[in-house]
Amino acid sequence: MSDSKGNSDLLPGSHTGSGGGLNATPEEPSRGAEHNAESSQGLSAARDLRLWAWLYSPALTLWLLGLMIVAMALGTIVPQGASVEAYERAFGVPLGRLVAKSSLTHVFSAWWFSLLFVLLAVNLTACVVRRVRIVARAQDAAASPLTSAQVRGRRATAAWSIRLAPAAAHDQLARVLRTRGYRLIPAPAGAKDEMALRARRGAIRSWGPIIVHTGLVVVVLGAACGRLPSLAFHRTAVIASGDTYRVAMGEKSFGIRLLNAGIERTPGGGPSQYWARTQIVEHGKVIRNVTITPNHPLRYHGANVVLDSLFDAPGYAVEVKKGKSVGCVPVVMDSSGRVDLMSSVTLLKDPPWLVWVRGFRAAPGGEPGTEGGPAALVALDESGAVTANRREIGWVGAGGLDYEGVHFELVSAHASKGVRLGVHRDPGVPVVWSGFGLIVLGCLLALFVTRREIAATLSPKGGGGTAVVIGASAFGLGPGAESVLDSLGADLEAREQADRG
Amino acid sequence: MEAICIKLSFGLYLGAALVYVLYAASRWERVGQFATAVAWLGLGANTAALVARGIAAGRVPYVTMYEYLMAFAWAVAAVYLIFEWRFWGARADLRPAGSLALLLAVGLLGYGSSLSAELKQAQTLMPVLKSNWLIFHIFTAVVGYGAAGVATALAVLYLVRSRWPGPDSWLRQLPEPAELDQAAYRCIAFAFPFLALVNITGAIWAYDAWGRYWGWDPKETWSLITWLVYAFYLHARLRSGWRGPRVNWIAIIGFAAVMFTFIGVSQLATFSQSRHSYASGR
Repeated sequence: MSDSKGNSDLLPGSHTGSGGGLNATPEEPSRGAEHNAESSQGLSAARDLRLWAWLYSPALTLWLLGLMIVAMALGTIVPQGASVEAYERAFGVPLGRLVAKSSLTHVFSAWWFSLLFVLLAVNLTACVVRRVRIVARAQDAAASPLTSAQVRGRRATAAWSIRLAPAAAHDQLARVLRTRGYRLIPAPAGAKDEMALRARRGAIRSWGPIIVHTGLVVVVLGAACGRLPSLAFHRTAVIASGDTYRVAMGEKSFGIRLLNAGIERTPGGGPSQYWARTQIVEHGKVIRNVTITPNHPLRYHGANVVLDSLFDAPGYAVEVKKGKSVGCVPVVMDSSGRVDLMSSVTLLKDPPWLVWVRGFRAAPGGEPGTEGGPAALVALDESGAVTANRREIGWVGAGGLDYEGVHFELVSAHASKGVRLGVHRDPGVPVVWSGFGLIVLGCLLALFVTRREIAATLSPKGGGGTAVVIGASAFGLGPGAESVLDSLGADLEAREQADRG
Repeated sequence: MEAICIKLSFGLYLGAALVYVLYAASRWERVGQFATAVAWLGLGANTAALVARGIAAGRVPYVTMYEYLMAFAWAVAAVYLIFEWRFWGARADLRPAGSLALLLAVGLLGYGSSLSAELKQAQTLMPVLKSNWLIFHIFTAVVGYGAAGVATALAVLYLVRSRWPGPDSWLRQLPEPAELDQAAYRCIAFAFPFLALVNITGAIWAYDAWGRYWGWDPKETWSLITWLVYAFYLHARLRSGWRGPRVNWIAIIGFAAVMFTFIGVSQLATFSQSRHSYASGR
């Protein structure tokens, strides 16, 4: 028995080309078919074929992937939703203004970004449909007799001599393959089956990439569901202890009443756990008590309520007066003892300033007007928005502070503790989870299953023996084609020695 | 114990890398076997360090930046050694690639050792990290990034070797370009599902922790970009038939995306608003 010979590509398990079956499958319509389609019906059919070919084309896939990569990268490098001044500071005045006017300031919600996903879904769907047809066809019985060229076209080939007549040699090879878990593929009707043999193992792996791509399409569909404004929402609820926040969801509306919230601390003083004890209230009745902690949200009627942060309003506010009171800025602290900048802010009408508290000191300080009591550090932006023109005007205590004809004064307010909850509803979540499941299943198939194919031709030799040429292919991370042939050859040799013995 | 094991693994990885270089030059089998043995010892020391850290911290040992660097180095070495043992062997001797792979592990451990003492401490978990998803999410990242690192070592070696191909080249002792190219592909094919799982487990965890499964957070986005780059590689190779230097450059770009996701994202101006900012290591 001769040794196996691999071809020039020595390593196992690679897969080239887009087909996977034993028979070649046509990738594109033939030139002859296109030339013959001269009628208008034929031209229309040709256009449809070209459109279909473009939809599943690898070039379109690569272009879409490349564009998505670039767009996403830009979306993380260019600050999203910032002010014109912020872009001018980052990129210089001319370029910054150009960027501010472009959709680079909101890449992830831009129409063209969504269009990339739509095109990708179409491309993936077309690929899946095409691939299912190829795989299903390849797994049917062989449509044509096996040729020597098909055998030699495999990833690895080997030649042996068996001291048996062709029919007996065929049976021996078939037995060896069956014991190794291969499924023999029936020869086409009329073929001399002692002269050729096909076998396959792990065919289910062909479905792995199909399942992954189907899962991706399902994920994109689920994400699209989550963008429907009539069904999905993402809100922030600021609830003080004892208050109830109403989650408006039409007939399924319900209330979340905050009973209490707090922090558990480690011996070192850092936060160990945040918690919020709440009640779900519906039609005036308490449905159940729920404790919300990080990673343990409240889920009810499809709403997903998470604990974002705790706040502590110590009972102070900065009152703004221009002759009469024109507004109040609450002093709200977060769970780390710093001012909660998102809550300690107010937009005034006259003057049209954005005013916020950037610091708070309960103990007396040294600034004028603050002796003998707590004080708040006030900042404002006279443009009424968050810009680079923001300035701190100073510490404001009970004595007050005047700035450009406006009086700021620290006054008592309602003290409260509370939580900031994220209230989310996304009807696409179950669809996305299904897509994830398909992706994981497809990846598992691709990782753990190796598809192996054997094609062999047998021809009589002088002296009563049989010359066998075997071609093998392997697709996956398991043993490659050369290893398959090696172990097959060892098996055949062992059987021949046993027969001789 | 952990510090000793880390220093030991650093030294053993470096030693193994140098012996692999010697093997590449001489092709003496004993030298190659010795390099492999030293590499396995280094992996053992690295494993011991991770176990010690896990016991000391009372949790999985790959949460902080320092721990993740230890785990990343471990994954690079482990994936390389498993591929060498399981998939390569006598038919395609790719042990010269071990030098680059282990030098990457050395670099990761070196960067970890340069962090401040405060960042090296075993910190208790922040409330938002107290979830079983932490185990799966970061483990899949460790394995996926490790395999990507090994693939990059092979791709770099491919580009060097293909510059001077053939049996008469001064680099003739190195594996043939086709073998390196194929091995890099197999590493990426192995890494790809894990990189997909990083995004999937992260999304499921984010739904519990932050109320939404995807928010285009910079870290999330770059993790997806990394996966898409490798998807580009696989489609270019398998569907468009790309071979040669350009597909290996894509593999290297993919690893650049891995490193940017791991370390570079925290340098972005937009990162301060990221929900992942606790993982910046600063």
